Amino acid sequence: MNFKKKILTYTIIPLIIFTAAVSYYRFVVISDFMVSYEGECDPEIESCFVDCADDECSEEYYYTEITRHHNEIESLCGEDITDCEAANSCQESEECEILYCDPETDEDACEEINQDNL
Amino acid sequence: MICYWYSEPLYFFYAPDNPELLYYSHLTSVFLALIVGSFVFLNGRHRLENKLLFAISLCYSAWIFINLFMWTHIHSDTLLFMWSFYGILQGLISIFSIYFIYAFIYKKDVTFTVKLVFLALLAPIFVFAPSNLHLSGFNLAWCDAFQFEGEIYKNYYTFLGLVAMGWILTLLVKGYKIADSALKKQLILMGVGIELFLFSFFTILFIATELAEMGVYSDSRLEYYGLFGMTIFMVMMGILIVRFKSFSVALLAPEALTFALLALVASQYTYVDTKTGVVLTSITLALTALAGTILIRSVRKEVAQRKELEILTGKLEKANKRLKVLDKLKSEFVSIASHQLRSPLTSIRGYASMLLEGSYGKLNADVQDAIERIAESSRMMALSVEDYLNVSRIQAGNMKYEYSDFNLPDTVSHIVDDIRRDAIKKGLVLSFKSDLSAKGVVHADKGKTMQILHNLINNSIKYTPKGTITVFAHDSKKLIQIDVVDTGIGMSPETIETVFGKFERAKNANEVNVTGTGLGLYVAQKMAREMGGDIQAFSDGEGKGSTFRFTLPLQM
Repeated sequence: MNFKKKILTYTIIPLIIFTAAVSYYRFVVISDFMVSYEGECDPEIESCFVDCADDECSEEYYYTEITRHHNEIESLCGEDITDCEAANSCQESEECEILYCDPETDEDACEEINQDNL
Repeated sequence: MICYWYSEPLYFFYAPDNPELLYYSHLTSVFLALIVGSFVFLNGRHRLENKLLFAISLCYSAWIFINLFMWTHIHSDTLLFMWSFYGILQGLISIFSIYFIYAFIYKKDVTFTVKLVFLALLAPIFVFAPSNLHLSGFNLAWCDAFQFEGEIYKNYYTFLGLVAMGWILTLLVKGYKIADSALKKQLILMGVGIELFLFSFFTILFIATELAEMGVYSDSRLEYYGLFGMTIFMVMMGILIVRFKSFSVALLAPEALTFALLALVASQYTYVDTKTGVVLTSITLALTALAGTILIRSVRKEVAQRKELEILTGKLEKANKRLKVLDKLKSEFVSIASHQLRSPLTSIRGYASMLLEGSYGKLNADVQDAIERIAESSRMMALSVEDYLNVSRIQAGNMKYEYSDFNLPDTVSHIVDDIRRDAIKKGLVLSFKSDLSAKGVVHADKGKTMQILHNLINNSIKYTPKGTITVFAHDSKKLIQIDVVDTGIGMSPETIETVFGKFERAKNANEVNVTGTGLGLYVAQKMAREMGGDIQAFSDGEGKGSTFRFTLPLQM
């Protein structure tokens, strides 16, 4: 009778604890998730995404979108990928993807390959 | 791994590049939610609706905490762990809102089946929260997980918000149909508050995150507009508590006002960025707190006194009712007893009269004297019984009046002539004078009028040891006044105030007359008032004589 009356309390609280434990284990303990970041890109040889480096857009920069498993990139670069050369390629990686800008779908976000420079 | 474009937060939640409105929207709404939720809960822990409102405010506060964490922290693993609670908290807010509205309207718990439905709706959110269906990755460049959020999962918990809005609307409409006028007003306030909250919270959040994911905005900053719905909801709750004493909370308006003022002043900290501004805000906050405390204390004191007074009034009212019942019982007893006494008294008086008239032969002097005493005592007793019966009739509203036109001065003159013999026996001079400009015709019950005049003149004879009694008739505008003026024992001002009360006799009455029920003047005044007139008493003090004025409206 009491269980029927308090069924929400008796189920929701354990569910919250269980979900929190599983989430903590997955995301914090074993870090089983992908990370994406901006990799280096040369607009003369690759189709790069282009964006402003500051709010006034006084300078532009080029990048590719790299998606890789968290543990893989962490083992290569540590906590911070800034200035980590290994982060810019997918060499020796099982779960890695480099996304280049597609002028057909991404339109203005792309800096197309300059054919004259090839 | 860390978001490489951002720096670690200051003071746990502060990042200088965050929009200022972010703190204003988050902190104000969470402050209000926690204050109202905790206050309601602490004032009525046993009530289901109080517990559920507290649960909503807790879930909302946890959501705000996580959201601020997202905006300021940079570690991808902890951010994803926190992110996994978004859906759970939004799902719980939806279900608790439905549950809360049901408990508020019907003042009872939902059925077991409905609870199972709630659990069934929540189950997918819990089960898939840590899975790839919800979150598969993290964007280190933008420091968010929008692009890795599973569409099905996100759409499901947003859809649950819409389900809650529809379910609540149905409950409110059904409840409104059966509610009384006070509850109807409460339901309107409650309905507007909670629907606005759910609508802004779920739809604006969804739109903001969609726009961020699509790249229209660099972040989900639009979401803070969705949080103002909670502020409106809590304001509505405040009105319900103060105006309708909902949730069994006796919150006073000054308390609510003080809290609101403090919240308003404190919220300035979120956008004041100069030292002078911070100092001025702190001083204003301290002064507001001080003034608010004084105001709350004085109002609480007044409320406590008023409550005490209400309790005493209630007790007095109860005692008064009890007294009325006892008075009625007493009158009934007196009435029954008087009726029982009247019949034997009539026999005693009749036989005494016959004995005195010689119907049973001539009586010797001693027997004659004894029979005269019996006749006089039984006459007095009959008068007392008549008084008791009159009181009973007046109180029961059974006194009957037979109205007719008659000449009052003539009636008074006849009565004075009849009674004069008694006055002379006592060595008093009883005279009648008239100074009437009109004929002196009145429309009243002649029998009752005579009874009143007999009563007043006999009273004067009783309480006048020596001197004169003058009955004076005069008129004033539309009234005829009969003054019975004596040179008797007089009355103090205190006695004048009480002399027309039931069983009331002057303090000095026993010095000259031990008989008397204390009902004669009470009955006389009641009868005079019933006929449109009145009786008033005047005296210059004890030993200085009295005047009783009997007034009746003149028949024009």
